[in-house]
Amino acid sequence: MNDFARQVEALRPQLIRFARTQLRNDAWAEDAVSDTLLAALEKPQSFAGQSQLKTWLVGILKHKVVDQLRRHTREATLMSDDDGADLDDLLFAADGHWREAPKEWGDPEHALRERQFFEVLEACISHLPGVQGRVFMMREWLELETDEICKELAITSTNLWVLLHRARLRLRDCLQRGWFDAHGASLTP
Amino acid sequence: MKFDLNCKQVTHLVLQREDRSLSWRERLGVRFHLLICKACPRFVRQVELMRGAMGRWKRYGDEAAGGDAPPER
Repeated sequence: MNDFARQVEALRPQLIRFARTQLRNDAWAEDAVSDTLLAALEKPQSFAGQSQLKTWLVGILKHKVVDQLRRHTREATLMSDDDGADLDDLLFAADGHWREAPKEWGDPEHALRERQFFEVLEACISHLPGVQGRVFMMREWLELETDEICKELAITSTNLWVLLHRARLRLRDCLQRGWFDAHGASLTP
Repeated sequence: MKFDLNCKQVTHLVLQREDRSLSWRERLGVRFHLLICKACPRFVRQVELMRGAMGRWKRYGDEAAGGDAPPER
């Protein structure tokens, strides 16, 4: 194996992590990463070294991940009971008021400078129900516009808005319990 | 014209604002509500923190090379 191949191979675990977080399916993630590494090794000359190797590979990976989503559209959009669960009724009374007001999370910099916070964040994303997690990551990581996500997954925009809404509320709830209950406003003067 | 949104409606719009631009009427409704509500401004700050966190999480992964690795599981 030459040096380039070794460097590329060394990044495989990180690529797998990203692919899994997006695809929520280990086999699809393996395929996306293999396709990525193959593409990279086939044309190393397109990596001119002007960007970091990882940035370059992640760029390729994003395309391969979309390929996988296209290939598995039906399964990727199969809603579990969990996907269908709505937090709104837990959060809001019938008159639309908060049942319990949101807590103060304090200065963002307190959380964002902690490596552990990002471990919690990543775990929370991974624990989103499958379809919610996929659309959330398509929006946040693949940075697709909402109409592109609808097109790729063949879902209606009504569906997408509901899924994104639920995903973000869940993430918030998970961060509250996983981080801020212990580290929250107490750190802020 | 109806500007008096309740907290549930406002949270929906605050979350949708992450993914689309609101109409001026929606923006006005949200802004008005945030002036008179004590709870929702906290929700807005939570959403802003999550936005910042996602941005940084993404950059960890896209840019961090070797030594400065992203949080491992």
